Amino acid sequence: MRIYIDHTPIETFKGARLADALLSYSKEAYKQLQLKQIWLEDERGNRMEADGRLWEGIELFIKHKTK
Amino acid sequence: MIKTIKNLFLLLIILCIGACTPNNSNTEPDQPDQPGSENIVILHMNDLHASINNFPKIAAYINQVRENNDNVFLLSAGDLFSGNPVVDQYAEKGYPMIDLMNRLKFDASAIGNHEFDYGQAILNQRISQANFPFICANMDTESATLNQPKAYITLKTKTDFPIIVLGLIETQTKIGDRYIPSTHPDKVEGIHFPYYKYTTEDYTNLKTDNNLFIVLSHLGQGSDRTLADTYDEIDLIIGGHSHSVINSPYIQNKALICQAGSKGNYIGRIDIKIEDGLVISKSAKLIEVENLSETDTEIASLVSEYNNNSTLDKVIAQNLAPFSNKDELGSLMTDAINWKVKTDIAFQNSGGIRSWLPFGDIKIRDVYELDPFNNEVIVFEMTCSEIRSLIKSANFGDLKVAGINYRYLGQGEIQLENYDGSLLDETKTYKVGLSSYIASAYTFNHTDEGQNAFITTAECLIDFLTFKEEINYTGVKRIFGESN
Repeated sequence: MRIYIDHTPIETFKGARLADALLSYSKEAYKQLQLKQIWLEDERGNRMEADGRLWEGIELFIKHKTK
Repeated sequence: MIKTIKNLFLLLIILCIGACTPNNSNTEPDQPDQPGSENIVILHMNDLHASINNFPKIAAYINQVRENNDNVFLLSAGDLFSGNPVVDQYAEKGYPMIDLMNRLKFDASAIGNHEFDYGQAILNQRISQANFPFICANMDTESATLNQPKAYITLKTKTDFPIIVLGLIETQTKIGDRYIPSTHPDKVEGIHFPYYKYTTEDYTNLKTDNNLFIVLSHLGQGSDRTLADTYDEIDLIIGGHSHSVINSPYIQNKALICQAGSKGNYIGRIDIKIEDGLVISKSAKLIEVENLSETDTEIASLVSEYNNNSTLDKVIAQNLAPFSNKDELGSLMTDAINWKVKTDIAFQNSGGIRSWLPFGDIKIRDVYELDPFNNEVIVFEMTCSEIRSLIKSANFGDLKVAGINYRYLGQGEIQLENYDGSLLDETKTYKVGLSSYIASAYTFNHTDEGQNAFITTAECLIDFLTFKEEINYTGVKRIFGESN
């Protein structure tokens, strides 16, 4: 299954959750997600939670928590 | 006559004051219904995943809304179970969740893919326990253990305005030529799942000018949009599965699309105004449960009772000899994957082994302490060369294994062996089970993209230990050779 994070294509397994794909994209970003320093939004600006199931072609964007 | 004019003037002033007064309450009382007009409030949640700790606040909010509004309906868009051992490992699996939902007086729930996690027989029990219907239109259980759910229900307001609620489930997993929801195929044996888009067409004739047509969807937000684009008849899609926090629900074609995150962290609220039998306005928003201050004491006490019960202290197996290293523990954990998911070979990384299992009684709680990450099992068809590439991508001895032994030969070479020391057949492909962490974090060659088995590694271990009753892994060793 191919999805996109910040326009980068990520190949992940079928049935992946958001956190799985983010881990494939960047271990650092995965840690930041767990620490709630970042979150991910879909192309409509809706936040998706870490356990949310992805679908083919979804585009996600990393958002940083402002201090 | 003068008295009537005075009364009308007074009423006008009251209405003006009402309209101008800011309303900070989360419960927003109805404007009194005018003749032929009616206000409807639909509250919804999705993907509760056995999370019960927010129920006291959720209950208090719902009670307040019901006190202030005549027509309040409460819906769930599926995935009630899996995610909290207090509920999932309860003596009657899932019982606390339905008990709490009954007390909150849910009107309906869609069936989500995780509803199958406990098996069909238990799902039948939970559906019987529920005082509300489970609905799903794209499911045919004719040759299955599961009883056939209703495709839709019709709710009625105080003035009998009809609200059609149609249930749909995703079918994203392809097994052979069969499409099923995101669950292990054994869990949905005998159930046929037609494609949601075609099924919906069979029900769009239920829509009239004088009703509300809602899809209670466990499809995920992407499919919700497709559905909305396909059918003009849909007024509202209350969604789940993708755990989307739709703070500002939006119109796609004619449908308002809503979804409320997961785990009861949000309550979705939809306000609909009806005049002369026609929907004249609809708006929606999310209520963040953390920000609610009131709690329902009765529900709080029940949640506390469930949290403090002895479910997690249940002894599931006896460990006949103490574990002395992570190789032994990893061997047990990977044996559990092979046994449960029917893979040939399984791997578990050292970092995923977080504690020890005790000598003697092993309790459910011990398994969650050993394996707390909620990693799922991912299955790949792999060649020997791809398996070697996986082992090489890890540090020396990091990947614990079941189904084979492997040996470091030096110069970066790995030899794959059967337990009897013979070499693996290089011409074959093997079904390999990996934790979702390994599947995502390790870089290795694989032509198969991998398929989620939709069971956690911890659940595999609990079921394996329960089945075995006694274990002894003393001296079990499957990794040989030395680091270069």
